[in-house]
Amino acid sequence: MSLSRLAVLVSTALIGFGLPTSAAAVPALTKADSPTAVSWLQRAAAAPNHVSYHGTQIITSWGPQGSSSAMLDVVHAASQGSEISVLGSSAPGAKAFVQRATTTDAAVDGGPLALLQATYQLVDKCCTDLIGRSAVLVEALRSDQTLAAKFWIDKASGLLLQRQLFSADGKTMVRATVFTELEIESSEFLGHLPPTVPSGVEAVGMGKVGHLRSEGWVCAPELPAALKLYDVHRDTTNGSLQFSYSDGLFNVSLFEQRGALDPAAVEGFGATDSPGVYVRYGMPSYVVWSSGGIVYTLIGDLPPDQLGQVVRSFPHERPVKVSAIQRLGTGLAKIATWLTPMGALSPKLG
Amino acid sequence: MTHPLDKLSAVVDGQLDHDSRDKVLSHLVGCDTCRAEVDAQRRVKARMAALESPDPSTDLMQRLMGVSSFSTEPREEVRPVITPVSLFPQRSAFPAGRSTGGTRPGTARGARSRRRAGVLGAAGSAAAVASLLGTAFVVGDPARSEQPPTLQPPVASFSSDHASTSSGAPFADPVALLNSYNGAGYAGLNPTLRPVALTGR
Repeated sequence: MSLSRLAVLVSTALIGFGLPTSAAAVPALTKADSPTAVSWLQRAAAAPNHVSYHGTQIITSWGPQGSSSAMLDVVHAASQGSEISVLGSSAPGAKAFVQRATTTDAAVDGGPLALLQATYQLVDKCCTDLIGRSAVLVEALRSDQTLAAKFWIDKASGLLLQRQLFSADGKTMVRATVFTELEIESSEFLGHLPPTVPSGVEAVGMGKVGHLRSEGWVCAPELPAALKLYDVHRDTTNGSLQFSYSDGLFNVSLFEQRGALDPAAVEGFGATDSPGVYVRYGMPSYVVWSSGGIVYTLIGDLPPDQLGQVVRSFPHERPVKVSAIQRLGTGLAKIATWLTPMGALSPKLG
Repeated sequence: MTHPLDKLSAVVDGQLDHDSRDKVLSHLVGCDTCRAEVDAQRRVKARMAALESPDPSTDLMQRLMGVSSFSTEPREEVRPVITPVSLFPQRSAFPAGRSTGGTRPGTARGARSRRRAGVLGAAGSAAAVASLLGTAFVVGDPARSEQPPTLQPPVASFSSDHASTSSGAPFADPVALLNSYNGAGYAGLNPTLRPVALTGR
């Protein structure tokens, strides 16, 4: 085994087994988080597991094509999950149900909170009021001390009341989530929920990342915009792999499939500066391209600039254009191999 | 209640169009029998997909070489092969057999026949070369062998998977979750939104 391959395997093992530990260890070495800020965020992360509520929430996202907003009615049952309806849309009654993560998955999904701690300096800005409720304001700062995010956490329930995300300059807001009404409820179940549809998605786990790389899948442990790989899933229905990246604030899923991108698949997408890369901005944004026999679909809520950085960090091989003479030469060589009995069998013999 | 049994395997394979899939999923929501069937088919498919394809045995090619069709020896069967070159002696022999006047073979008729045969031979050779080059051009197409098959990424399904993953994250926005069953529009506001239950993890 070569040294470089050994190094990849060792680093993969470290990523697979050591990420939560290293993520937790980094803040102590490089920056000083406010202990109260960390504990408030931990409480906010855990609150939906034991607090039921009913509220109205507004989501706004700012991008190159202006802003887009949605008003949602959220009914959350601590033991089941959230039923989310779009208010004021042209589709009254449209609802989605998102099942609560199980306790086993919660440990995995704890990754992003650890990544939030690892990536940003967390500061407790103490006390404020929001929608008539007493709240705590926590700020996340980048290493250059620019503001990355603000969290308003309800003192009584621990629920996240408002979140604002800022671009790299620390001033331009790129995304905001705010409750305009919130009622804490005692019921733990929603009585009218339909059963869930079976899914073909299964967890692969970080321990198999090295094996996936050896099979030719592209999965860097880190991406630009401080995104880190923290989970891998496989969808058995379409053979795709899902690589989950996050920095604790923004989430990106990278889907990979064997094949080449069908031009018909990019209907509704816009072309970008990079040939063969197509994007559709929104909440979330979508980017698709293919390279080296893999079709990439990237879905995430990153601001456009960082989204572009992330996409550029991946391979972008364009199909090679062959001249007529080269094509004839390749064909003649191939025919020559057919005329030789051993040549015809050589692909089978390897 | 009519069970869409003929569509259950198609929904597992993801081969139904949007409307048909919605109808089947809506049925699955209220039908325990069909849901169990879909679940069972999914498990079988996942199990089959997890199986590794068996490696060919080491002496497979050696045994294949022993098969008569792979042998380098000439075959027993005789296939008639007609080429312009093979026609030449038959045509030239026929008039020679008819000439009973004791004329020598180097007459004007014989020369014309040879010229004709030569033109035919050249034309045949040119056709053969053109055919070879044509075949080579087709075979040499890089898209013919090296390129993988084209596909359309199932964006709606990917949106659902992304939402399921990020819903576990502490501060994911619900709009991403709404997009989970609406890969076609922005912000979960597309009027084609329909109530469909989602699975989480």
